[in-house]
Amino acid sequence: MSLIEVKDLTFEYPGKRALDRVSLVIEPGTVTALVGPNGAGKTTLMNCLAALARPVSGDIRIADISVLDHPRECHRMIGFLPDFYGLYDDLTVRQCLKYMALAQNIAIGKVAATIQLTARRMHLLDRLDDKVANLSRGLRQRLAIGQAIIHDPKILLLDEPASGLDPKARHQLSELFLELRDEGKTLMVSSHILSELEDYSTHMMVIHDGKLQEHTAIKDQEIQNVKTLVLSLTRPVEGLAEALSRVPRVTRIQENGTTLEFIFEGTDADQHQLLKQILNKGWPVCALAVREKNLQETYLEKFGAHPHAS
Amino acid sequence: MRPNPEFQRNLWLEITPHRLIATPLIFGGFYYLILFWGEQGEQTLLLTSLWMFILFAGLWGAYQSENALVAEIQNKTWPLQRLTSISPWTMTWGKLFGSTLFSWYAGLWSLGVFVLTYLLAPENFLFPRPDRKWIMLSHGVGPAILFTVGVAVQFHAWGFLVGMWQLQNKFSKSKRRSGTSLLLSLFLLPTVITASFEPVKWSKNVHWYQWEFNEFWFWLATLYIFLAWVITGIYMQMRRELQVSNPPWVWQIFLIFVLAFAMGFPQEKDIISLNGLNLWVARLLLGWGLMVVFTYLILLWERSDGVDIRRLFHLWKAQRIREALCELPRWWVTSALAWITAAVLMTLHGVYGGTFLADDGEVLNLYGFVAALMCFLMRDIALLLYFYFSDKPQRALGTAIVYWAVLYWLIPMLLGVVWMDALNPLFLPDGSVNLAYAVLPPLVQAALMWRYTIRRWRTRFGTPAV
Repeated sequence: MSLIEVKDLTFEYPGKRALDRVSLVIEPGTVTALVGPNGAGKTTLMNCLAALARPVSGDIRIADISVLDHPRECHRMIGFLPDFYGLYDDLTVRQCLKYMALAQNIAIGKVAATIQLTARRMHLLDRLDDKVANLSRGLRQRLAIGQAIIHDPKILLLDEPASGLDPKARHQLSELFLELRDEGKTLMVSSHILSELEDYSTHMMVIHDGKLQEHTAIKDQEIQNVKTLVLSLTRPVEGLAEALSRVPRVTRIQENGTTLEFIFEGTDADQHQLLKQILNKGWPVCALAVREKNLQETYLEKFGAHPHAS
Repeated sequence: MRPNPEFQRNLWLEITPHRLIATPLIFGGFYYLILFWGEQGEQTLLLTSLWMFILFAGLWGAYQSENALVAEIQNKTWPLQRLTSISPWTMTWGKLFGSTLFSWYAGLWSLGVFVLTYLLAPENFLFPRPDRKWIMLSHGVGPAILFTVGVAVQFHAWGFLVGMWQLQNKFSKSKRRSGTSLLLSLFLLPTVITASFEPVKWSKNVHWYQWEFNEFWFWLATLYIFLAWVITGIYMQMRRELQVSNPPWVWQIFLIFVLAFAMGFPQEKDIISLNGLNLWVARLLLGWGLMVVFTYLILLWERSDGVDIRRLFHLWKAQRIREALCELPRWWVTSALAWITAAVLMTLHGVYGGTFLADDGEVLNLYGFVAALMCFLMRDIALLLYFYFSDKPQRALGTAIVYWAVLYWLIPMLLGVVWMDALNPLFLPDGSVNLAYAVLPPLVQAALMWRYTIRRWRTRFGTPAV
């Protein structure tokens, strides 16, 4: 059963159609990377899903509850981190978390334990009595996410969560999203920096000019036994690329000195046969490895530099 | 009892230990100085403490409550709050009373000084003539506190509404804190002060319909009844902000209440000046005038850009009638009520007859005046919508106000200067000319304006949403 179902969603700002009949279905436990250029409609889509903006037409259902008819019920199932979020700088981390716990109707008797649990998950335990104004960018991000998940929502919507973070903080954020994914949460993460999404995303949704261009499982191609293989040699071999192109199931060979990268369509057994053939030829092979397709490549492969080019 | 999280948050921010201790010390020192300054220390203290209460609890509170919501927008915390489970009512009172906590704290010290002075000072010293007291104190210190506290909350509530208006019209994004409500309060303050401190006789009464009430109690009750309405207005607006649909009938009930309330004031003795108008015609004339004023007020308050109207049409087409009624712009309802009262007014005038005189004794044509004003109203609605349907709807209100100023003020002034007052009915409702000349010009203007507006709508929003 789907967790989020959107049907013919149209949203307009005065003078601009931001979403144009968008329909989508999101399964529980998935992490969807929402990608697209600036102004494509990513934030508007998230605002509509979070029941923060009313569309002109269309229907959104979360766990079979209509977002438009019962926005407050949906809010209980959603945690949202907007693109430009704010925090109460004059409060302490503990006060912020307490405020959100009370605001999310957590039972009075459980508030203290919830604050502890959230602070532990966000690695903020030693900062509980610090003023928010004194936190670094990364810690502020953690607190904002902590506030968004304090009520243990089923769905977490994150709009550009890693923007402005240093590499270490980004890595910590990726780890956190993996943890949340493993706990069975459904995440939708919007970004136009694709590299930051690939560690934890299971699906990619491309939106452009308010239209949904693509919504696929990232691992689809691997399931279909299409993979990118990298052949490493000890020294360059003349004519190797040409010889390899004659091998069945091998396409799109790119030669770069001592490495050759190519698309291989086949099962693991087929790959074993390929390796055997290569070794039998006596080529100076030192490794044959599967290269994980990164999200950026998948995106560019399908849409080129501009998604509408598809 | 479960604490209101919004009130609790404001409590953390507003009532810091520093403020808690410093405020009474500063106020204590200040009032101690006043008490021993000059010969009439008690009277000065009584007046000053009341002024300080109005300044702190009233004016400063209005400023604080206006910025309660504006600050959330500026600090980008409002989306987070909208996503919480805080109900619209909890949010309303948590913000309204939470944001003004410090101003209440400071104000209540002054009110305490006021009460103490009043109770301890010899009354004949404060009021040398026992039959004349300040209207506010004419019934004792308790009602006086009720009155001043009611005025302060009224200021806060209006301040909050102004903040919500800025939020709705996207004026809240600038980094500056808004002082609109402070300005409005300062504007209203002389009226409040005059009304409160005016020495009056004890026995002044108000006539409302056929009843007679003591003036102080009547206005005190009115203050609290309208305060309840303002808070209801905030609550309904908060529901919209939190994406909860509003029942369509609350605004109608408010308008009908205002109509019924205002119509109670004209009395037989007053309408002598209107020369023989039937009492109910005079009352309806006032009620109709108010509905026209409210139509303009709601036009200023509510955005009606093309997207909202498109959504309304979509709901209507999808036969989601209840939701469509909830989304109905309030100027539709208000102008409809203005039309209804106008129709009843003209019918009653036809039945009862009577003449309608201007101040200079000239006989006015009530039909012509009412019909002309309604046509101008329709033209002005169309004009505003015309700008709302443009590429830059955020400028619609400002542009429309400029046009209205030109049409209602500049051009008639210019006509007056060049001795062409006879052309006034083209720009102002005029009951002194014949019916056709009074009604036809605004009717043609309204028809033309609506034609242009509908054409613009079709050009820009002609493609159906689905």
